[in-house]
Amino acid sequence: MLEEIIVVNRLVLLGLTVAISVALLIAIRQAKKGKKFFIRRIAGLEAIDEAVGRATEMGRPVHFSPGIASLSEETAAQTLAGLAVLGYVARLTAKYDTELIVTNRMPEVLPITEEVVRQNYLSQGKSENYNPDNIVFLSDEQFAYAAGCMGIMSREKVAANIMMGAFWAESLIFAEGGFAAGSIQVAGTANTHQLPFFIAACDYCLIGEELFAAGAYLSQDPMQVAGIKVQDLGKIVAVLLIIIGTVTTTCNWPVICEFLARFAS
Amino acid sequence: METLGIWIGALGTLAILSFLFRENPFFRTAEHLFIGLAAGIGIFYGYQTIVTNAWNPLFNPADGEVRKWFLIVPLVLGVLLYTRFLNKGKWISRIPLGFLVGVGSALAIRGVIGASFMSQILATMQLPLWHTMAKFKIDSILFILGVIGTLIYFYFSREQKGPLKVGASIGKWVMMIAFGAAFGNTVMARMSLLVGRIYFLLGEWLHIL
Repeated sequence: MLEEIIVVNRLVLLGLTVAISVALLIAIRQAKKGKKFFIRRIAGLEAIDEAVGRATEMGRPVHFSPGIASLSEETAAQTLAGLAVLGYVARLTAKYDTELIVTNRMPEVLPITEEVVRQNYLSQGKSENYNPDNIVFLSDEQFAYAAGCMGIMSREKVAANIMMGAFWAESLIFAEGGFAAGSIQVAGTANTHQLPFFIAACDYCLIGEELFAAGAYLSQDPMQVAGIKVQDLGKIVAVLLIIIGTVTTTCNWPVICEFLARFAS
Repeated sequence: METLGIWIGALGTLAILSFLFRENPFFRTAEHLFIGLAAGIGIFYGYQTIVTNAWNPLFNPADGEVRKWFLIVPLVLGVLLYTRFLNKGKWISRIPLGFLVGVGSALAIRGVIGASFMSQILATMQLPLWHTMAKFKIDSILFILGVIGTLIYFYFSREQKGPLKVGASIGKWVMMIAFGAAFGNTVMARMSLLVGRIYFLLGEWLHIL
């Protein structure tokens, strides 16, 4: 009877989804009430200050890319985290009167990047320095966007190239373009298959979840901070399950593993 | 016509590759052509998608097909995106954007909990502590320590001090080894792409090969 109503072999996943959602709602509520959750500072973030500082000293622009993912994919969270970092970068460039160029691949991300940059220039009292022409949509074709970015980085001689979001095969093209332009490069993505390129070619790199934590750390948005807390809770659960599972498997008592294999497939 | 296509492809390839020397007018021409063509193709496919997937099923359904009224919802949401060009009605464009973000988040949750969370945990749980893994030829305890260390590296609620620092260091080393292997693998794949381009230039274009 139960199997007719729900997919039994996904019961654990259902339970986990509900548990995570409830934990997230509680954490958001606590954060909104003013509870301060601690998030440790991430080394790569300090590099952003250094990169913008360098661009200011050299009198050359900063280039920012929020990645190439849309807002309706699984990777949308990376774009949103990248936009939080963009807000921080925009605050710095507004503060130091440094030119900021933002290139976009996805049309629906463009109005958000415009708004993020405009709001942060406004918050620094530098709305007159906000230049909407510097927030550009290049192309929704992956490699046309990559070629456009390379061209802009090279022609504008950007001193800092910051890439935060979801990247795919164009990651190394960007990093190479930034290197050719002589810029300091800070990158961050949760696409693990592209991380090796960023680590090899950029000066600083935010690895995987560091990107999300960076977004939460910089924005201090209760929703994002609460999300990081719940993810940390998930990691504790994962470590505990792994320890329990491996010990019980070693002792030839695979009941827990078999239960999860049956109801969490 | 095919010859013209090969010539355009070959000259475009050379123009893009010329960036390896430095930014130059040939690269700039190819870059602008690429972006312009992509925009043109994008508009065409966008129009086709709307006509095929929304307009026709809604207003001109084929014989025997039922009119799909619900398609009015995405159509209206799409039109609302353009309100960002209105000075007073700019805020309306946030409604479809909110919808897009909501769908993105929902899709992410669906995929993450099953494939990225539970399946990974389960695969590690099923390893006995002292056992040589056939695939990697290493003792499974190293693998388990690597997984736990990597999880500790991404723990943000505490400063990385004491045992957490040791765990995070193990995680960092494991990740760097994995990234090194992935880097080498992808470089090999990119080399094969380069070889493919060189074959195109020397074979299809110059007929040397």
